[in-house]
Amino acid sequence: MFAPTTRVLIVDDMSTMRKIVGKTCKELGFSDLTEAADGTLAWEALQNAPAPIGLIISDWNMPNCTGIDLLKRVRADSRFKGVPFILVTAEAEQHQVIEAVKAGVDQYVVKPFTKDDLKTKLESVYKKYAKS
Amino acid sequence: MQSPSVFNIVVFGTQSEFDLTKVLPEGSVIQNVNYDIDKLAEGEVPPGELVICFPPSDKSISMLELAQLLRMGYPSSLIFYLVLRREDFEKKRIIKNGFDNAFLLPWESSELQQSLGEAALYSRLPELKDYAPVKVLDLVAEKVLDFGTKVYLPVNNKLVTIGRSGEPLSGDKLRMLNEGSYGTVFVHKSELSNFHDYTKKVLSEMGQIQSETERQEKMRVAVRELVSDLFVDDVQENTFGKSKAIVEELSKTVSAMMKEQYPVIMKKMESLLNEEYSFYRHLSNVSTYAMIFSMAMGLEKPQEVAVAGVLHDVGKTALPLEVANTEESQMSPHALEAYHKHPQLTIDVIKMKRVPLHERITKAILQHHERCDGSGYPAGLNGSRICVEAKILAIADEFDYLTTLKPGQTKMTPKDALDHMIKENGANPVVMKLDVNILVTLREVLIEGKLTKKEDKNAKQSPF
Repeated sequence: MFAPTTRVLIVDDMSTMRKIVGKTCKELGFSDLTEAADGTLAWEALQNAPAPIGLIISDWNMPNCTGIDLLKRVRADSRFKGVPFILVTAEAEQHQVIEAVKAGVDQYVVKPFTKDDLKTKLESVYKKYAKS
Repeated sequence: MQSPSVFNIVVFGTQSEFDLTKVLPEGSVIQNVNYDIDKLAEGEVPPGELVICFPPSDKSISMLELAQLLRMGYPSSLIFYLVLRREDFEKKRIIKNGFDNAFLLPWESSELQQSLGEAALYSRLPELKDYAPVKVLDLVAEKVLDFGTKVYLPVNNKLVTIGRSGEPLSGDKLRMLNEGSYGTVFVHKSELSNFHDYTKKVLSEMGQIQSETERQEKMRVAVRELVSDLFVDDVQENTFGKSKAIVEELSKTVSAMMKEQYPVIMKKMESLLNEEYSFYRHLSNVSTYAMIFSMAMGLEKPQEVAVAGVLHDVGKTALPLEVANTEESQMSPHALEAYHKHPQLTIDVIKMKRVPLHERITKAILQHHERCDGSGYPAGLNGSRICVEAKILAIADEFDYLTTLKPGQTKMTPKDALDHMIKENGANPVVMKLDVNILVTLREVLIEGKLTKKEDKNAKQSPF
């Protein structure tokens, strides 16, 4: 199913949210988790990571650097080519989803999500990247 | 006989101001749980088909996080957010944050009760998901229906066929359904388009644009939205637009009604009389009655009185909780003093939202509790100084009270309600509270069918 050794970066300004996403990831087989409280800190974590990050799960609305800006930065940087990016956010307006898709997001999860919601989206991302 | 399965409701958060047991459906069991964020995050929650949350006292957790935590523990249950303070209530935002519904108490206790009842019903009878509720009022006797109808019997917890497709529903059956307050019958979803075609056909034959129940539902939803908008902190430019839209909606329907004689109109209004009291129904009903009464009195701008009707009690939601929860007859002098401020509070709320209202409307709202003998509030004005719009509003208010179903009370027909008010106020003009001249005119025009003075002169002109 999932590669349990994949290093996951969880980005959200709410600590409870990071806890929830982390817990769900653990239940789905990921054991190597790291967190950041906003897009800027996430960018630092990406660059200074002792081991390469294999999956980014990020919120949209955060101070300093939003999730969509983080996504654009990641997609613009060849060092992080091929890293799956999932947005987990309460924002669900059509124009926002379109913007995220255009910016290269792999999956879009709307808060509040159930465990199954996240699991299904993670699985589809995994399948997509497993093919390539 | 199968007894209905238990409906488990889990209630998060403690409060002592609202008695939930008053609105719980039969056969439901509630379990009160304190908020424990860690336990919630771990998913250690008691099972339940429905979850009710009161705002947590720990303000550090956002509503979005709360919704997320609860959704993890209850992936397929309904989650309702209940607030007791107007400041906490912004329905759209609450629902956007991931709750299934939000209710402001005590004002929306009827709506809460109805939602809980529906949830319990659908939970204990899963086959209901294949059926759609349809109002009995929209069915006409002795017409062949090309759809089946079923009624829910709570005692047996079963859906029972009441009418078969291809057969007409007899007048007796319909009467029985109406009297047994079965208000709703169920039509199989596969036959729903047949029902809609039938309604359209029947309505076009009766010269109506939409069914009375649809119109009422639309009105009530619009009123509820309008009142909710008045709670939101940022100014909504289109709040007046909404109240105007409500009145235009009302105007269209009343215009259509006006093609008939007043007594026929009153008969149609009986559909308003079969339901239980609710804050929004009251606002909506009073608005409807105020408009019809104003037309009957030959007023030039009946829609203004209708707008006053929609807004007239909005200020009550700004009352302190202890006052809101007490019956007027049981209030202490201190509470009464606060309660008597609600007309002014209504004006304040509206002014704060910068809703532009004609002076006639604000006066009507401010004066609707004034009484002709000077015993009213806030100013204790006597009859000659109370504007006619306020007098009509006061009568519409009392009329709705008398004609609405309330527990332990018989409701009156429109004729009986008017007769009752005339009797109570007609003995001595010095001590009359409601204007008996207006009441007598209303009775003549609405019940006996006499024409208004205006209609005598220009029979073809629409009041709009």
